[in-house]
Amino acid sequence: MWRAWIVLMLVAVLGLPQLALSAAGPQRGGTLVYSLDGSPDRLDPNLSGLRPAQIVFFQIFDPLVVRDPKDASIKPWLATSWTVSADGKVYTFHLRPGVMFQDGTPFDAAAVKFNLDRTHNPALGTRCGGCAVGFYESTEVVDRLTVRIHLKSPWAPFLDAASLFYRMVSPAGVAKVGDQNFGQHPVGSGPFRFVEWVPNDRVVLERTPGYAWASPLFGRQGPALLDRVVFRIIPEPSTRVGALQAGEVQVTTAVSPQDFQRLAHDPKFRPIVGLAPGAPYSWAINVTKAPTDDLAVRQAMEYGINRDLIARVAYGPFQTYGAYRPAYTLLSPVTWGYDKQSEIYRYDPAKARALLDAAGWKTGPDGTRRKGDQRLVVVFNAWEHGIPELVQAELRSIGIDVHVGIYDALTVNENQRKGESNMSPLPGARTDPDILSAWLHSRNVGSGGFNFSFVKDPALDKLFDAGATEVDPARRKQIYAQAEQYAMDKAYMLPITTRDNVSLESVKVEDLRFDATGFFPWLYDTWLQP
Amino acid sequence: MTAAVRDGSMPETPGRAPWRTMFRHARRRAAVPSAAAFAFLAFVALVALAPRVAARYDPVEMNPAVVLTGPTAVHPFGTDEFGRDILSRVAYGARTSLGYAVLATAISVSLGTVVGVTSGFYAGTFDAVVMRAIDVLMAFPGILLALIVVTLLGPGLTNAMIAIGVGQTPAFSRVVRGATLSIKGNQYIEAAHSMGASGARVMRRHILPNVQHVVFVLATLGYGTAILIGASLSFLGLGAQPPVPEWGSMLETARGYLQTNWWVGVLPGVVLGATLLSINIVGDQVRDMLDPSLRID
Amino acid sequence: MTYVVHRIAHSALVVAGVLVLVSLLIHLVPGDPAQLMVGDAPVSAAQLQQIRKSLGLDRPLPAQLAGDAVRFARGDLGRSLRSGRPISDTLRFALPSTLSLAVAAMAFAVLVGVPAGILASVYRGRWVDTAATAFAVVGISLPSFWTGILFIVLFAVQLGWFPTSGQGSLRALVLPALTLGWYPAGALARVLRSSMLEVMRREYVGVARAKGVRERAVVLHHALRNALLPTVTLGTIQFGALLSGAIVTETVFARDGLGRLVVEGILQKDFPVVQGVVLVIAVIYTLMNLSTDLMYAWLDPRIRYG
Repeated sequence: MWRAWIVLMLVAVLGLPQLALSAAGPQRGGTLVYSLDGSPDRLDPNLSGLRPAQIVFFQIFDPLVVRDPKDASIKPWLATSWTVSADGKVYTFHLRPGVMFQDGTPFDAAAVKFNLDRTHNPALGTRCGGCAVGFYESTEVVDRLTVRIHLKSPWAPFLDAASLFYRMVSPAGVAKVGDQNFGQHPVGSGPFRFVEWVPNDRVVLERTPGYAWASPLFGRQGPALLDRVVFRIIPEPSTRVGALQAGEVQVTTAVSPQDFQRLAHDPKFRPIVGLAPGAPYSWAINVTKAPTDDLAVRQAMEYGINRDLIARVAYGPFQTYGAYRPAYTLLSPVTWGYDKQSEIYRYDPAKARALLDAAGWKTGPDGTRRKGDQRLVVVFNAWEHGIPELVQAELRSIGIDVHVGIYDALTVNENQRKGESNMSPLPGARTDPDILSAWLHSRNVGSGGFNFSFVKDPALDKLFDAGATEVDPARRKQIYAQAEQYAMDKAYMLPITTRDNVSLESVKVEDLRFDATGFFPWLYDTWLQP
Repeated sequence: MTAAVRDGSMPETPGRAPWRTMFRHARRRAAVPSAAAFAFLAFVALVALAPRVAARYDPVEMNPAVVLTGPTAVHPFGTDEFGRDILSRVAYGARTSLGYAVLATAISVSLGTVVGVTSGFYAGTFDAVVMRAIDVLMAFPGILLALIVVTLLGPGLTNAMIAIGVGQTPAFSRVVRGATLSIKGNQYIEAAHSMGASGARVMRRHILPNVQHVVFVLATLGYGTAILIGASLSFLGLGAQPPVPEWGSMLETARGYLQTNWWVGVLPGVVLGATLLSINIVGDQVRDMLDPSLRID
Repeated sequence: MTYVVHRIAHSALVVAGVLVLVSLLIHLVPGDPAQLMVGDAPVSAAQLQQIRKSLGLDRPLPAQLAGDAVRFARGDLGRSLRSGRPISDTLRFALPSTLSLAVAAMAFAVLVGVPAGILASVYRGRWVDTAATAFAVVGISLPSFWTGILFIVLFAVQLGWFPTSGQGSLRALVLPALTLGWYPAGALARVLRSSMLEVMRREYVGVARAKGVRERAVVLHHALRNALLPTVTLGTIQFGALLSGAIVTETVFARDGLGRLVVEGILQKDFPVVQGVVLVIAVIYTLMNLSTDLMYAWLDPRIRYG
């Protein structure tokens, strides 16, 4: 009997507060205001790959499948099951019945075909960076709820792309307003539907009534909890965080380290940290432009920068939360396929100097090394302050003169493409290690590709091709480990820090979760404390 | 924000009182502020010429041990996000900001003088064409023209200053043209002409010396505007590049620290504001002394 | 009357010149405009050719200019390369936003600048004068991006009186209008003060005083009326200058508007947007100048074309 009393007491002491809390559990209603650091270009997943646009339209459009952040497995969403052919070239999806677009038209195999074809229609000029451009062949409608996607050659990241970038738009919606206007009048099948877009100010969404096809990973079914979501566009970081403090917005992304430090411990706010898989904040090194065509110069840079110090000075406050750590190889430690063996360059300025000496770069009178009449000048472009200045200071001490230029992203990319800079950053949050082929495969040199190192290395191409087609996970992991070791040995890129999602939310916001990339919120589950 | 010169023709140059009287008059009117402004500008100019007067550190040297420390005896203006001494950066930044603004002003003044004098002197069709072109350029207010030029040339401090110089040229040309027109009517110029002097010679010997004071006033007033627009372009990310210390870009990066580390933005901002204030006060003074009817607001 | 006709014809000429310049803009940019426009999208040579064609870049220059002129005159400013949105659509939001900011800033400038100028001239040399002059000179000296950020930190974040950014409410307009309006307020106060002083030195003011007119009436009726002429001119010019001031202010306060559109257009190499906004700003500016001159002529009958 006395045992029962103890149990009861325990329940009372431990359980009652829990009960009280859960009584105030998920509440329906309210408007969440979420700030963005840039304006969407168009709310059209077939044609846009811009992050602010994706954050918004991922709420409006559902994907066929979704990657579970917990175990990185692929889970159903609009497709209930799928198979991949033995040769890796045909993906068959069985679609969920009863799914409706927000305009009342049904979602079916023909809609999937419409979306895939539209994404790969060159006349429309897609900007979807992660889509199967170059691999996609055709889509075949097998029956109303079965669809078969054919690739020209095997491409292992296809399911990953399907979980992120292939989002289903309503064909009737596109037909109604036209391809170019659809991005201003989006119609999807997602938990939220479009209300209005005031350019450069806000995008307003409201709950889709009757939504009943959430992915099983949410553990819940039915319409979203929030009445409305307002995305406020506030590019200025100090203004953005000011809006959070003033209570005008409840979630603010891309917080600066010093604001983060100041507000993370404020009882009114909660930090949100998502560690991003994929490529860390790496710099492409142009191997065709002097002086970075010299392996010794590239390796000297790898040895010559103190990544620990750089990460601490630039991003110290984030590191308490495990974010923005020093990065020594091409994939961040939380990525499937990350290989610790490839972390071959520890900070060693003596070794860096020795490498340069041996390669004939002798210290000149101004402290900068030279070879003949050539000064050791490396042009380094970026779109953000911080890392560039620190790298500049570090490399100056080993005799490399770094010319830094801080421009907008388009100019940075253009300069690297035209060979006016030696180095420029390539952040790439992706869940699949195939992201590396976008940076270093020879087919991505020139004409809009992102091989900004201009590496054309058959050995590396072979590894990437094998990685893209290998279906056995263990063997595939092995291939990427080899590729990382090989590319780091050649110092094709300069990884510096990881680049993670660091945001702040009001304590009133509950159950705000992020997808497997760490950057895209799922607002389906999110609710507000009254 | 911008230099907009009054549309329409120049008011007639007034009969000028003897220099000395005007100077005394002007001095009496605003003795204290202008003395302070002169003194401050002289000091800033000295620092720009010899930054070591105020700077105790290398302006680009980083020191991770003292990142973002407030003002102390060692670092009177505190340190920035890289542990650099802000006072030293402000001192070297004076050299950059003031020096490059000289470039911009030199461009606008020389182009403006050449265009204004020749257009006013030759009159007729040439003048009409030039003035219409200037009218078109002046339809793009101030910073917009500079922004367009930066788009064409690409970002960077030198390009930004060229952009500002070009941006101010139409307004300057118009004022100089007005001054030229009012002088051209004088009898001695007609006399020189009739004695067979070439156009170039008349312009050089007779017109230029007489529009000199206008050009000088324009240069003084335009100089402050050049610094201000230069800082604005840097603020928009189109100007100076790291690690070059420049006031506008210092303020640009300091934006993020205003709530946590006020000194990073406030102290350089105060120096920039005080410099612009002093240039405006001194510029007004110079204008009042030389040609009170000129107005560039 | 000939003056008015001349002035209008002249403005039309300027607008035509602006049209030509704006449509030339795309050719002055170094590099292939089509390549710049696609930015980072993977495209083929055939797609580039298609883009050139859609922009009319494949035609000879005079034909392009003529085509652009006809298009612009019809009010068709093309589509944004990034959003695909018609530019006239975007302007429908941006133009009222910028105009309301400029009007609010100008209202602040007049409401504060005019009394400050009058008081400074009446109490010349006293502390009121010093304070008003300090207000004016500080206003025209401080960079607006700096004052704007200080205002946000002080009035929005610390005191919570106004929102930090955005639009839609009158309260959101206050801080940007103060930031943008301080400069013209200072300029107005200064000009009004000096022209008041000049007028009050004139004979008829002395006569009015000698006739026993009360000081308040002297100031308001005789002096102010005559001092207002240069002030009105300056006011309209300042209104035009506000359009360019808005470029910085809108960026700081994250407001939609012409200024922010043009900056983003430049940064994103979205040339149709830059063209469209530049054209609109230039036309507004020209119209402002025209109305200034006409108003000036109306206020001061001595002015005739010549």
